Amino acid sequence: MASRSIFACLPLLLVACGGVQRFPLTAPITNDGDRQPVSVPCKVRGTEKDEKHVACAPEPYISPLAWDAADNSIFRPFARVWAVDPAGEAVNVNAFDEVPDSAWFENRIGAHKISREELLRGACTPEEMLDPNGVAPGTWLVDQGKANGSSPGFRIKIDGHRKYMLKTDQKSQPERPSASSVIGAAIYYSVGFNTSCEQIIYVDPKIFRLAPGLKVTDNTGITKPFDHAALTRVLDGATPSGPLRRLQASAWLPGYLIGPFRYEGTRGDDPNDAIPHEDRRDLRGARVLAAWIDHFDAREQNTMDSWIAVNSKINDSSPGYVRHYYLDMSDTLGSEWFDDGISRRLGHSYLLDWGDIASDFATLGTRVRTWDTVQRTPGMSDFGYFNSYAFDPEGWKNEYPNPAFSRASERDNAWMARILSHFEYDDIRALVALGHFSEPDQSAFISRILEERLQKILVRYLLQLSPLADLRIEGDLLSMTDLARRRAVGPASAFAYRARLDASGAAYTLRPAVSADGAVTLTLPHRSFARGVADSDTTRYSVVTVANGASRYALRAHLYDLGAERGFRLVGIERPERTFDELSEH
Amino acid sequence: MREAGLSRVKAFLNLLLDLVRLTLLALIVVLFGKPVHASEKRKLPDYDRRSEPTTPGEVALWVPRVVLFPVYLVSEYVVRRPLGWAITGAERAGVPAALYDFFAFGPDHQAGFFPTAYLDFGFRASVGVYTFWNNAFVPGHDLVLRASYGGKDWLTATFMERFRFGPRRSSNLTLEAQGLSRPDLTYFGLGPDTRQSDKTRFGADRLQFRGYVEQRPTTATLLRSELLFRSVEFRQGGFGDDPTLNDAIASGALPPPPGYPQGYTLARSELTLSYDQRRLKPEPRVGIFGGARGAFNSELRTRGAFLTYGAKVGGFVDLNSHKRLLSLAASARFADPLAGSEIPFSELVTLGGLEPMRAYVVGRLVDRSSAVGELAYRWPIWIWLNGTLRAELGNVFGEHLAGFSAGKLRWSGTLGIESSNPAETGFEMLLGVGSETFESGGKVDAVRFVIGTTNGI
Repeated sequence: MASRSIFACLPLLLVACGGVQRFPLTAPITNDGDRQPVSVPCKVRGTEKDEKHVACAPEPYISPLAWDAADNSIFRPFARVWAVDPAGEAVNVNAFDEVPDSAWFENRIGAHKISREELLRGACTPEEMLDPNGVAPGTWLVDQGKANGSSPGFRIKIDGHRKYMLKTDQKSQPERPSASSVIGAAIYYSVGFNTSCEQIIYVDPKIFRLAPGLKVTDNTGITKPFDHAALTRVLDGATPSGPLRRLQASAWLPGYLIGPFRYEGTRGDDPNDAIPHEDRRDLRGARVLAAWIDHFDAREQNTMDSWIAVNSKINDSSPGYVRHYYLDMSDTLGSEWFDDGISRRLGHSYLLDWGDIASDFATLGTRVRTWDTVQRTPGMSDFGYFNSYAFDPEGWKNEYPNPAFSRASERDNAWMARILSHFEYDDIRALVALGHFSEPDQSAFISRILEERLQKILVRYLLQLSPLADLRIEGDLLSMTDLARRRAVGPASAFAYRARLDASGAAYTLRPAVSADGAVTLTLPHRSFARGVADSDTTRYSVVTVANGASRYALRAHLYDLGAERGFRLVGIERPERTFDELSEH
Repeated sequence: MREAGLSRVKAFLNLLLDLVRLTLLALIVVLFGKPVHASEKRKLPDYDRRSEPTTPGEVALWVPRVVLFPVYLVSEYVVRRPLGWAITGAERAGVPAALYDFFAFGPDHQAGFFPTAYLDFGFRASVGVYTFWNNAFVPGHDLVLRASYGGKDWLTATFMERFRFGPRRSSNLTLEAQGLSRPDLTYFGLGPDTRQSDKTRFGADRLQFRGYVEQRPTTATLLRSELLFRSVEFRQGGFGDDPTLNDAIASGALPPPPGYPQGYTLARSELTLSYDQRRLKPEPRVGIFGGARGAFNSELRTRGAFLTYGAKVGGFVDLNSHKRLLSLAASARFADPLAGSEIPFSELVTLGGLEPMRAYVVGRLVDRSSAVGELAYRWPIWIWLNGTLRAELGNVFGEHLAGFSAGKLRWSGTLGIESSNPAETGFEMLLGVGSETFESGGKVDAVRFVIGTTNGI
C-alpha cells in the first residue's frame, strides 16, 4: 500500500521536487526599486565658487584611463583565475526571464511598440532639440573647451541654462563619428539604456561667442587658452556644408555628474547599487548590442553616473538616486585607429589579447585570422572595416576585456538578441538617416550592414534558447510571439510547433495556432478543483512546454489554473537548455 | 535534506570568505590610509521569487577556491589593488602627462629617452638608456645616444648623428662613435670543430668611429658605403667559473689567437649592395633577396691588410598571402689576408650572436670562412610582433671553405619573437639550440636564450 502511494506520488515528487521548481503565485518584479531616493552623508566638497561647499551626493569618481586598460588587459584576468569564480547567471532577472526597469535600464522596444517619432528622438526631449536656423549671431555662448577624447569641441550654454557639448568630426572620417554618436545613442536608448541626447546640427560659426578667459586641458595634460584662435581651429576642422559647419550636439546630462560607472563591483557610496555590475544582465547583455554596431570602445570611460536629487534646484543634495548612462558611441560603424594593424583587429581581438597571441605563436600562424583577410568596402572607406561578412556575434570583442561582457551567459546574450529582434529594417533605415550622411549610398550601405549583422545575431542567439517571447494570458489562451519566425531567421518550413501542458502528473498535448508573423496561441485546458483549494495550491500548478522546431531548446511557461471563471495566471517563464523531448520526459 | 546540507556548507564557506575579505579590507585601509566609502546597501529583492538549489558542482568549486586562495590573495591584494591604487593616484595627479613630457620632450615630443634591457644567457645582463632627438636642428637630422651598463668593467656607449635625405628621406649619412668595454666576451678557438666546453672568457676595450652613406635607389635596393676606424685592446676577462683565455693559453689548452693579447687598430672601407623584395609594397607573394659585401681592411699597427667579403642569396614565398613568410637562403663569407698579414681573430669570419647560426652565442664559431644555409619562417602574432622559426646548417672553415664537408656542418634551430620592425629599438626573445658537427655526432652542444631590446648595445 505504501509503495503504491509512493509510486502514485512519484510524478508529483518529480514535478514538485526534482523536475520543476515552482514559481510562487505573485506578479513578476517589473521595477527594481533602485530609483527610490536615498540619502548619503554630506561632505565638504569645495567648488570653484565656494571652497566650503557641502555636497550630499556620492563622491565623483575619476576613471583612471591607463589603469583601466592595464587592469582589464593584464591584472584583473590574472587575479580572477585564482578566485575560481566562474560566471553564473545574472542576478537581476525576474520570473519572466526579463530585466526589471531600473536606474540602469528601462524596457522599451523589447517590451512594447514604440512610435517612429519616439525611436528617432532617442533620449532627447522636445525642449532639447536644437534649431540653429534664424538664431542671431553671438547667441550661443561658448563657456568651456572640451577636455578629453579624440574629437575636438567645446561647450555652449543657451538661454543661460541649456548646455550642450559640440564636437566636430575628423578629417580622415568626415561625418562618421557624429553620425555614429547620434545613431548609436538612439539605438541604445530604444533598447532601454539611458543615454545623452545627441543630434547633428549645421551652424553658421557666427552664432558663437566666447566667454572670456577660457582654458582647456588636452589629452596630455597641457593647459592652453581656449580663445578665438582655438575656436576657429575647432570649427575649421568641422565638416563644411556650404557656409555652415556640421557639428554633433550632446545635451548636458541632468543632475550632478559623479563620473563613470565601473563594470566591476558596486559603487560603495550608493546604497541602491547592490548588484555587482559584472553580474547585471543589462550590462552583460550590452555586449551583444555593442557587437551589433561595433561599439568596441565600450569601457567605463564611456559611461556616466548622475545623481538625481529630489530637490532639482540643489543637484548635489540628498535624498536622490544615481542614474546610469551610456555615452559616446562615436567609435561605432567603423572607426579606425592610427595603425592599420590595430584597425583590422577591432571587434575581433583585444588590443592585447594574450589568448590570440599565444594561439598564433603556438600554431605557427597556420590559422588565418579575420584581421588577416578583412578589407575595406570599396567606395566606403569612411567606414573602415565595418562589414557583416566578417562579423561573428559570439566572438566579437571590444578593445580590452570588460568584466560584464566577459561574464555574459547564453541567457544574457539571448535576452538582448530578443530585444534587438524588434528592430525592423525600416527602423534601421530611419535610425541611420539620423546620421545625415551627405552620400545616399552611405546610408544605404550602413543600413544594409546593420541589418545583416543583426541577422547574424538573431541566427546565433534565437536558434538556441527559445525565442518565444511576449507571453500573455488572454482568457484561456496563452499567446506569445516567435521572434525567430517573425524576423525570418529561418525558412518557414523549419518551424514546426509542439506544445504540452503538464499538471498534477497529467500531460495534455496542445495544438499551437501559428500565424506567419510569428504569433503563437495555445488554448489551455482547465481542470477541476475541489471547493476551497487555495489559489497557490500545488495542484493548480501547470507547466506549458513549447518548442518552435527551429530553435534547439524549448520554453517553459509556469501558470496557476484558477479555474474556468478566473482563468490562468502566468507566474514564470524559463528557457532551459533542454529540448522539448528532454523536458517531456520529466 | 541533502540540499539543505549543501546549502549550509556553502553558507559557512561564504561566511568564512566574507570574514577574510573584511580583514583584508581593514588591512588595506590601515596600510594605505584611504577611507572606504561603504554605505549600507539596499536589500535586494528575490528577483525570480524562487530559491535556487545549491548544486554539488557549486560546493565542489570551493575545493580549488580554498586551495588557490593564497595565490588569489597575493595576486589581488598584494599586486593588483595596491598597484591600481598607486597608478590611479598617479593618473589623478597628472603623473602620466608629466612622465610623457619627461621621457619625450621638446616641441612635438621629438626628443626623449627610454630604458632598455638585454639578457643573453651566458653573458652579463645589461640595462641602459636610449635617447633620441629626431629632426634635431633641421628636418631629417637625428641624434641618438645609447648607453648600457652591465656591472663592473661592462659599459657601452654609442653616439650617432644621422642626416636623412632624398625622396621620403630614405637615404642617410650617418656618423657614429662607439665605445665598448666588456669582460665577458667568449672565445672557443678557431675552426669548425670547437665545442661548447672549449669556452674561455676575455675582455676587450673597443673604440670605434664610422661613417656610412646608405641610399635606396629603389625600395628594395640598398647601397651602402662605409669608412670605419676601430681600435681594440684586449685584457683579462671573466664570467662566473668559466676559464679565462689567458689561463687557457698559459696551460696550453689553446694557442693564442691572432692579434691577442696585443690588440689592433683597424681602418676599413666597405661597400655593400643588397636587394630585398620583402620591402616592396604591396608585398609580393614570391620574391628574392640577397646581397654582397666587400671591405678592405688595414691593420695600422702591423701595417697589414686583409679583405673581408661575402654574399647571401635567397628566396621567399608568402605561404598564404597573409605575411606567413618562408625563406630559404645561402650565405658565404670570407676573410683573406694580404701579403702574409695576420687577421686579428675578432675580425675573422664569425657565426653566432647576431650573425647566422643564431643558436650560438656571439663569437662562438670563428675562422677564415663560413657557409650557412638557412630555412626561416616568420609569421605575425600581434600588431607589432612576429614569431620566427629558423633552421640553419653551416659552420666556419679554413681559407676559402677549406675543409668543407657535410660532416663538418652543424645545425642551429631557433624559435623566437621579434618586433615587426627590428630596428635599433627592436625587441627580441629567442630560444635556440645548436649542435656539434655531424661527424662528432650532431648532439646538442649549445642552448641560447635571449630577451631584450636594442640588442644590448
